[in-house]
Amino acid sequence: MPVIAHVEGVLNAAPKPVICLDTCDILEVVQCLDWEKSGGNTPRSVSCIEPVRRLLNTLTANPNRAQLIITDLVHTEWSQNIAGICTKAEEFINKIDDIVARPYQAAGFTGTLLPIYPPLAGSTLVADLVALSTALLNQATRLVLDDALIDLALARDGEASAFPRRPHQGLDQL
Amino acid sequence: MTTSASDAPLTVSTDGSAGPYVIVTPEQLRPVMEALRADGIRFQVDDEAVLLNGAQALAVIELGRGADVGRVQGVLDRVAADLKGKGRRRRRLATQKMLVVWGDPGPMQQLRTRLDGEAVGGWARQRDIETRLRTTLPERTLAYCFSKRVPAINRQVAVLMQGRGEGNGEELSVSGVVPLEGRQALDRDQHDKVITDIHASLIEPLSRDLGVRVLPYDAHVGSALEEALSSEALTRLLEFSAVANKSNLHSLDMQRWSAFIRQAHHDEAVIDPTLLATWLVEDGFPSRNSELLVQEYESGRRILSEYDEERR
Repeated sequence: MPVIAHVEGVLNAAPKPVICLDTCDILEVVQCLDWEKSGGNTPRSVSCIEPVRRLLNTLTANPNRAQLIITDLVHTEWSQNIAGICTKAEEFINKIDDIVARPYQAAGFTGTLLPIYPPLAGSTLVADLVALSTALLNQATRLVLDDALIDLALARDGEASAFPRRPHQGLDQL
Repeated sequence: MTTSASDAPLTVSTDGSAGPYVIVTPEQLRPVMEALRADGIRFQVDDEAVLLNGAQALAVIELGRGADVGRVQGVLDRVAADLKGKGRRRRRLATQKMLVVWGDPGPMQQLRTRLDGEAVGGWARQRDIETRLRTTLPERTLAYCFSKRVPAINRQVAVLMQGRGEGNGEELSVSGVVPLEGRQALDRDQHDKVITDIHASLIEPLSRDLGVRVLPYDAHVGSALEEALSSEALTRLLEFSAVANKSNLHSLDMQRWSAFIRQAHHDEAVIDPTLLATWLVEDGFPSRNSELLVQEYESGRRILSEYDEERR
């Protein structure tokens, strides 16, 4: 993993746009398969997926078009959370299947012909979204987040509480 | 991204090996089937022909050999006119051209063999990009990349294609068009010209005589406000817009706007204010009134949320 000075040198030698990603940017690709609020009935928007696919397509065809950057903390947070998010996405899909089953039950009593609905739970959707999220994660350069940089960031006026936590302090809060 | 719905062209295609066919969007499927039945025209439907974003995007109505193409086209023209009339109040969404090739495993395998062969139509295979593309796709997904300086836009571009569906050998679709030079992204018109080029100069010649279907279609692009709204909220928005005095909002207009805000709040809809403002302007509201309405919307949602919090 490079330190920030190394990445700075590389970018100075061959400048290109830098895109800094937070953990949520990468997790959201899977996390979007959930309800907007716990117990609510509004599905989250899935509009985050298309730009990720477009970004990866662009970097696939032209790797020097931009530099994706994450801190090591982002990688750790992603690894810690992805399994739980997959479970929630699968629960969301199961719920949708359950909801769709109701009108089919009703149709059974009325003789209404409905188009075949293959259960979503049998699809590879969640696994495919995890693959996309993983591809985005792996596309990014991971920066070493040393204590000096963390202290520098935490010392910024008015932003201490909003800044990402120290890895050893903050990860258990997730 | 979804397929454009009721306003997509309805045309009998005669390039199929199994006889003429019609490609329809999900919204067109039922009215077309009903009209064909009413006219005594026999057909079969493959309504899983193309799945986009996991949902049915296009269906193929097989008419069979010996079908009276002119008669069917007449029926389709009537359905198209009817749908156009019903859809008049719908907003036309921005679209871009997409391309899907679909067929039985055997012919699709033959197509892939042809794609592996010599360059056609000036398109060059880019295997290094394909290798990188595969690392970003689910395991065992088919991936192709072809590049060309497309005359219509005078830019070198890469077209990425990937397999979809079970075993993903039965469907191949364009998944991206990326410029290989310059920092400027392709606009929709340039994107469409690239798709037109690769369709005409690579996919169509290689697909000829194979019995596979090359399905060009228009897909909605960008976030559509309609997709963020429940049918109730959309109805209230359309009712508001249909009768509003757009240049000089009346108090009754604001009551209808409040009804839309209440419904959106009730649905817990998450609406991008910029999207809402753009929708209003495109629907004929002057920008100052669009801004006013969006401010009203944001303020209304905030107050309703605070009220909800207090009652908890």
